[in-house]
Amino acid sequence: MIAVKGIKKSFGSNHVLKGIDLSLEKGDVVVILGPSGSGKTTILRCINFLERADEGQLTIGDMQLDLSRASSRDILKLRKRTGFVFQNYALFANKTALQNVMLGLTAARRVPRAEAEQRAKAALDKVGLSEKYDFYPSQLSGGQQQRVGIARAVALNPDVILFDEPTSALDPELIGEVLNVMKQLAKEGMTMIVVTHEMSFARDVASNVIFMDGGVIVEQGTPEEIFDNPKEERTKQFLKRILLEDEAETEIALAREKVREAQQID
Amino acid sequence: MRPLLDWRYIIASIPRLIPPFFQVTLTCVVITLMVGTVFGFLLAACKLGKNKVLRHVAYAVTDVIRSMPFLVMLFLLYYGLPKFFPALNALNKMFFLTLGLIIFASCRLSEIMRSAYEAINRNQMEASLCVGLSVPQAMWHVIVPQAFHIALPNMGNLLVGMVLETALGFTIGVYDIMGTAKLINSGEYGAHNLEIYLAAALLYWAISLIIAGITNQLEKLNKSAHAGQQKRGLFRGIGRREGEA
Amino acid sequence: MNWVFILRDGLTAALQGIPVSLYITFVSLLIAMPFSFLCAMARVKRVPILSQVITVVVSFLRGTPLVVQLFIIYSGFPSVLNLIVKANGWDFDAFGINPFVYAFVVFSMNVLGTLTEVFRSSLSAVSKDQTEAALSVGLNHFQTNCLIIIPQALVSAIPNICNEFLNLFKSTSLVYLMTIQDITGKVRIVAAAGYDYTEAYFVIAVVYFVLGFTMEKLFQRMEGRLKTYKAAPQT
Repeated sequence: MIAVKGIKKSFGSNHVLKGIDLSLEKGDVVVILGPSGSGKTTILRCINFLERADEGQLTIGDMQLDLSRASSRDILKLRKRTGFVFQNYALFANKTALQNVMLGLTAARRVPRAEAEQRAKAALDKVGLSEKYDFYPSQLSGGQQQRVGIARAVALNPDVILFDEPTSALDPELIGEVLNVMKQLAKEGMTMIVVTHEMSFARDVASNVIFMDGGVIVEQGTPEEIFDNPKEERTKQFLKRILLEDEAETEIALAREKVREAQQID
Repeated sequence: MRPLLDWRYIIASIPRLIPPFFQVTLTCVVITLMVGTVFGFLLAACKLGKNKVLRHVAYAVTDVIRSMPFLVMLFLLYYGLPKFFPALNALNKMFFLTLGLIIFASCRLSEIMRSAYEAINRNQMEASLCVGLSVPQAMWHVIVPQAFHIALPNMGNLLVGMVLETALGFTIGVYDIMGTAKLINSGEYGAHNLEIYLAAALLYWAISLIIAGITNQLEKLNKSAHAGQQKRGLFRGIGRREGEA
Repeated sequence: MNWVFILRDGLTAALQGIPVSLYITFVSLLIAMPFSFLCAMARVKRVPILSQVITVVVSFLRGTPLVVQLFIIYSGFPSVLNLIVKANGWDFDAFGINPFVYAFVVFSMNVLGTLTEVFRSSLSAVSKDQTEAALSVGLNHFQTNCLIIIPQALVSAIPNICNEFLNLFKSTSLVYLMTIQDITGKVRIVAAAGYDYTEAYFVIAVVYFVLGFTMEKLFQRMEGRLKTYKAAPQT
């Protein structure tokens, strides 16, 4: 059971978050949508204390934290219960895929090496990278790197995984493999908070969809409620724009596929 | 008719210049490296830290020292320190040479370390923290190895620079390679002027080439132990749009 | 500390020495720049034999201390010249050449080494698609070099050249070994009267700091202005 109450955050005179409440149960998949600048990434980063909120309370399981005044020890304890997946993967450049996944276990949680290696390999297998244990990030494609990033979070057995626009930096052909991994995770009951533009993912997998704009939650509900029956005008506008972009992107991806097939025949 | 350039003399002189290399040059440089790394690290930490006063002091100190020629600093230490601390008069002159080198090396090292640290992407630290590492752990496992990889070529250059700077020791009476060469030359009343200095030059050149070779090897070893984010050529077919800020 | 010396004698002596130091720095840099640019071009174009020779020479210049190079030229060369003069019976005083000549030779040689590397890396740094674009628009290789590549390389080399200028200015402190009186030389002479050596070097250090700092700020301002007209990165 995770709940966030009354998060407020400003960067100088820019009020990015104006009081957000959020709550989810175990196994929920919450998708946050919204235009850029709406504060959706900031909320995720505040939950994990990558940014310091100005106000707010966070409850996770039996832990309660004040988002503006938590001590480093509490933050460390919190981070041991959460996983974070970055938009630009943020893999440790000087470690192999396996070492990337193991580091959190061995160094931060004192898990013995053999067990850590087993858990890491299992996580990498789960994301479909059993052939790439000893590859460095610079030797992997974007989609593969992001899957390692997900494995890194999954191996830690967290209460919740936070996804910060996990597919925004990927080329369209690679988005699918990452989304599939995320859908599998959701099916297995992982609690996830996902900030994304991928509507198909939200529609298929989310238990709850939140639309944010201008630092507040404009509307939230089940995927059917939001996509099929949006109540607010702002939500409707946003969805229209996104769907148009979606269509354009799908057309581009399809055209690229055709070109590639034609080239391969030669 | 005396030959213009007595090659045999040059080759014969080089072995005479090697003992001072080990006794003086090598000792100075090794001590400088050890102590200089510590102070350089401290300075770099001040420059990167949160304390504004320390930061300004660190930058000011580095600026002042970097604006001085090495010769001037050497003389300042050699004449100035014993004036305030007469006890230092009894010390071997190598002390002053080493002290000057340490001061110089610390400033350059602090710049090298600082720029290497700043070259590392911010998300490496964020990812480490998110995975549950504490800041010291993140530094040890992730940040410092990458910074070292970036700093290595610059440190190699610094090492060569320091060996070459030791040649100025003769101005305060330290008998390193150059000092010994001058000594030999004056002993022969300048009979083999050109040759002896050429011999010294060749020796220095050989040393700098060896250091460069060792640094290159180290870089290669280091590279195989970790492939940094700089390498990009390997997956040309698959489209990659790295979303790095 | 003898403050009277510092403020009166030392400073005036230093001020007299500043023009000498600057003069040597400027002239050496001016001499070295065209040569090092040509050498860098030879390296980049991989001219056979010439580029290998240049590589070796640059390696020697950068791998030996300036002092040693100084003594080779200032002390060694006249001796050899003397031998030649004597052997041929010319009426020429091999030891009477103006030390400034030696200074220019030594310092321009030294800078040649570093500047060649600077120009080489800035030439290589010009992105390959500039050449491709120029050729596809119809320029020939010579025009491409003169109009497109070299201007860009020069602009990107300026910060390094300024850096070299400052380094060269600092290394001119060694000219006292050639009996030329720059800042260091002049102050030392004045200091010898009262053995105020510590004060002397204090003055020298301060003068170098003030000069170096001013020049650095000047260069930064210059680079800032150049940046506005340098090509902006692609968005």
